[in-house]
Amino acid sequence: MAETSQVNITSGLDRAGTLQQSVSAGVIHDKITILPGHEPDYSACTFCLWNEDHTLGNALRPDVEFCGYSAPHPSDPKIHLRVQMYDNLSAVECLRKALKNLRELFQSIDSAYSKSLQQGKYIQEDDVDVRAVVAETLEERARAMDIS
Amino acid sequence: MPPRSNDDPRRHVQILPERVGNVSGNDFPGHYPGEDHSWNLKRFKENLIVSLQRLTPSTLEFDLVGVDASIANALRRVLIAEVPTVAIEDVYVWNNTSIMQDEVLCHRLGLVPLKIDPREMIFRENPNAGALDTDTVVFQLRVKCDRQPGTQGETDPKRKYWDSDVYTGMLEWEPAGAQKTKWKRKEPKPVNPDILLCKLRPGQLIDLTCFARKGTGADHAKFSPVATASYRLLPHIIIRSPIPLEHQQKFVQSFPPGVIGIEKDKRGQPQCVVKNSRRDTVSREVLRHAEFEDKVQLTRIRDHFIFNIESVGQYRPEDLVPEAIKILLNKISAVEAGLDKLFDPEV
Amino acid sequence: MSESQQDTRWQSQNPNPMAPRPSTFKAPDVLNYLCADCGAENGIKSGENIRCKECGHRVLYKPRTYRIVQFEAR
Repeated sequence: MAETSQVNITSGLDRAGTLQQSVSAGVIHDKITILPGHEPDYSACTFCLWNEDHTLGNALRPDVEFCGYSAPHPSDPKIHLRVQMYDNLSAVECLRKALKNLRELFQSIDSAYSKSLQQGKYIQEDDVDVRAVVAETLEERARAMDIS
Repeated sequence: MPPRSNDDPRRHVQILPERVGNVSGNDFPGHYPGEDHSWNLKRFKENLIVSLQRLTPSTLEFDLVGVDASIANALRRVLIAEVPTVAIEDVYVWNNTSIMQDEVLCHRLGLVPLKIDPREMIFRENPNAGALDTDTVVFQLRVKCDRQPGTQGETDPKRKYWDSDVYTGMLEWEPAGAQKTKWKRKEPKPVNPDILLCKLRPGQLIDLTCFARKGTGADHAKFSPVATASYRLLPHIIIRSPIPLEHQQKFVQSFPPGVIGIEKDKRGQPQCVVKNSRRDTVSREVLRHAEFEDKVQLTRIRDHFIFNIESVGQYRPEDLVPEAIKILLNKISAVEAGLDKLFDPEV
Repeated sequence: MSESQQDTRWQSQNPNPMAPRPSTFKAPDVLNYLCADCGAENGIKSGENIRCKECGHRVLYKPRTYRIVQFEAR
């Protein structure tokens, strides 16, 4: 089993920032509450996993009316994630639940991957030796030229 | 629940002659009335397949089935841009009399992959603070070119001069602090010692000190641990009606070798059969010919991702995906913590 | 082992050691300008004609600075 036995030193760069989100808490649907922007923005480039029409928040249950995200400006390291709920439900709770589901999803991918790695049913071979292949091809062509 | 079939049209992305159809997934709640598509971890785990296909010392090919495209894309993006590595960041040039300009040489040095385990180093947060032995690795490069005596009339520079070529193998590691004992068995060195950095002639020399730090691909491509990571969707070829005998050879040749085969059916007639659609490169050559117009359907399976990852050398290819997932989980924690921080004082 | 044999190929093979780095990088008193043609060092004092002493070429280059230069490897 491949063991990653390294000392895992985390640094301040991994500390949580907060994400700037415009969330409608469902009270009045056309009121957008923009949370104070003085909190440091969180560089969230890979949050593109919140797909437009198939967000995990959306897949929760038919309580979510709208869920989408946008990047206001490509040079700014932030995204706006908008969640709208039916029946005055809390968008924040929905977000929390979605994050929990996302975590479970990745953990199950991780364990399925480790299992498959351990089982070893895959082909294991050496890298292609590029120099050998090139030399061989050149020799073949030289031979073909000599014959012709 | 029965295992999902590759023939389920809901899972197909249609490859048509002029466009791609049915691209976005629609198994979310509300799309199909009467069906429950809400998030169900148990059902997800049943449908999830992760299976490694091929592992070499530098590449990995594996299949990820049953996830949404956004998840696969997130994994790919993190592999390219967020898994950290260690690369040369600062160079002090004491002397450089070669014809390669300082900045060009330093740029090349930055791109050299170094075999240092990034998990044992920390990020350097404050560039003005002093360097620590846990966040900086120091290399020296001192090469001088001289003429070899007694080689008159020799044309090959390798034989005429000493050290006319500067290779990455000439980078010498200078242990600092605790590094000496920590890395006694695994000395930091370039992944490939035979990368040509610069060429010299007699009288020219290069004398510089390099400082390597931890960084991510998002900052600069030299920190990317993969010589790329990509995925493609599994092709799926459906032969709608039998191909007539006279066209069968042409049909087979419209696909890459090994995709289509000719087999005898129950009545002993040779028929075209899909042997291995995985080998197809979906060039759509077959759609160019009028005789196959209604007989074949090219599709891809929407949630079957064939990942191909080539590691540069800092990580073993099989270690890259777990690292990427770790980073994604950290991101989720960070957002959760951010949410808590946001709402706690108000609540 | 063949690998270590290969590795020495990429190490420096020059038997002539490089001069150790000078502890101070102050410029010397008389600046030697380099001729563009023959590369000879000429110590040109102020007021003198700008000409190479060996080949007579009139373009002289100033040698590389004695300060260390720092670069970001980007």
